[in-house]
Amino acid sequence: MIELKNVTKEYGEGENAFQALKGIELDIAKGEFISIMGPSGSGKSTLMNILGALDRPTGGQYLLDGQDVGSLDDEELAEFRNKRVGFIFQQFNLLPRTSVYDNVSLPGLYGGLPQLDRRVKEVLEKVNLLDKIQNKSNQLSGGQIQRVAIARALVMEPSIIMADEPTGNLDSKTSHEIMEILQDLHAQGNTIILITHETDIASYAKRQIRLKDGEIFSDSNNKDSDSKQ
Amino acid sequence: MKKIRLIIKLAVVGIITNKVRSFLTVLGIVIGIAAVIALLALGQGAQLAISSSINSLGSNLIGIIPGTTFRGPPGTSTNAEIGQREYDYINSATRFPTVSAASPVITDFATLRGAEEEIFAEVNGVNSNFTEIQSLELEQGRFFREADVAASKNVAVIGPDVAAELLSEIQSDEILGQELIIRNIPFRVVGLLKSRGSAGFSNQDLEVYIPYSTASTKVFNRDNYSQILISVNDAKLSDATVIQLEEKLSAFKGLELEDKDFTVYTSDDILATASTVTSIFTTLLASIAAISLIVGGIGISNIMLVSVTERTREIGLRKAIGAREGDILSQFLLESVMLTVLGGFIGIALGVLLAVGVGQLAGIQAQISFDIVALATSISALVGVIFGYFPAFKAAKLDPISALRFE
Repeated sequence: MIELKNVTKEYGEGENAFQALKGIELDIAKGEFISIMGPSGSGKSTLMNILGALDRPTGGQYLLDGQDVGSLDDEELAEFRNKRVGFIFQQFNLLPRTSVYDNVSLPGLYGGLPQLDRRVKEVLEKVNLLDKIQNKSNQLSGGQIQRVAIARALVMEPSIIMADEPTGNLDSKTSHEIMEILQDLHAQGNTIILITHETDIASYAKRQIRLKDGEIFSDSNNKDSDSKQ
Repeated sequence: MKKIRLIIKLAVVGIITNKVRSFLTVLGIVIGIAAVIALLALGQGAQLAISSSINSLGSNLIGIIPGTTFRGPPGTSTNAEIGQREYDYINSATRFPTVSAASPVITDFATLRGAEEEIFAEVNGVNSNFTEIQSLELEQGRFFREADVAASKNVAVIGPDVAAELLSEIQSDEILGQELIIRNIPFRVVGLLKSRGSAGFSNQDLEVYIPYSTASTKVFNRDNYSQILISVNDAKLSDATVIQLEEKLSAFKGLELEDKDFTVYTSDDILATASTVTSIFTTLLASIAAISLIVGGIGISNIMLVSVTERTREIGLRKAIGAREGDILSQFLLESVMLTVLGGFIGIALGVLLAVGVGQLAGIQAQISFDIVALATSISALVGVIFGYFPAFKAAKLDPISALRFE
């Protein structure tokens, strides 16, 4: 479903040019749960930006569901993110002073989703937060905030869910709760891409990719992940 | 629709959470709109007062004054006078069938003396039919009669302020028959007028009417008239009568129409001139007040720029989940428009209070029309769009990746 063909990303020009990604080849099938790991400077954020359609590759091709993402203009990228990608970030995930309901419905409002009301309640039920639907985002705990963010990522029924250090700000107990929710979503058939630098968080994913200096260093299936389920 | 509702909701939340900052932001708009509203309301009030007092002269009024505003080549006519000869010519029902009444008017200022006090006021020498031409209503007594004019009697009809100034000692029911000295000539008061109020610039209650014959021969010693006032049967016939008067009177005076040495005007002409003058003044003052709106708009720009910077990560998040440039642009534009319109409403309320307050001190009934309020509201919205556009554009153009990373 996801095909990266010799994807490169360069920043700067001429002598100062810096190659963040050096020809990434990667296939991700529908329904996979994959983690991308690597030290800072390895290019994992750059890869996430490209996978999440926040940025275009400098060279090579990124195909999602057969569509060449690199050829889209800004407007089309925005629509692509809205319909195909669900984001969960490390921090600043929700609009301040805004209710859970409004936060979750935001992508639906931008995308003009019909029957949004029903869909919002459906996804909030999935993350077990229906009782907090009218709470303001500043009245929630860190774990609850990430659960709202997961619900928001699900609202548009995206092709992929991008989780960028989703547990970076959480204690370990809450982190594992969040990861279990992601694992459940994976079990329900969602494609999940997890970016992290923590090995035990990455171990929830079935397939682990390690990046180093802008190249794929290892791509292995995780035997542990079954035991975590 | 839901999207717009949410954007409005978020903007309202933002404005309420930052109450003090929001208020300081819109203060410039509040002051600007208040000043514009107050000036326009007072201007319209003044205009209405002037036009109603001009209308009280009678809407079917025509005046003939000596001289022209546009003079021909030098030496064409030096004898630009209007007198008894012209009056007799006009005052003929067969010659001018549309004229219902005509009266000479000799207007001059004179010292008036009562029992003790002395004032300086306008004295009008007119004919006995003058009340048919101008709507003068009598509080007491009568206007002078044809016989008074024929005999050049020393009788006077006085305005209420003249009575108040000069005959304040006299009981109001004893004013009739009192003596009044005009330029050292004694007159007997035969009538007291009802109050007509001030006509914008002059006080219509501080006036004295005497027979024109008396004014001409005894008081002012002049044969020429200040003007001849005419009323027509029907206001619709005003324009036709003006043309007829101009043509026939020129011929009577032995002049070509283009060389005529007199001017015929209607009450509509005065009204038009007066309202032009007041509206020029009002527009000028309101324009000066509008400068503060520009200053206020710059304040809006400033705060919106600060707000965009503060909310960079929110913008990044919105873009990540699918907001288009247009969505971000409209959100920030709507916020600035809501701020300025809110400021506009406060300004309107303040301006109305100001207009009513100042109006009471100045004796003008402030006129707050729907037009003014609609104008002020649209101006404040426009200020929001103009001065909110650049910050909103900046927000819309933010790169989502760097916006998300912004610390």
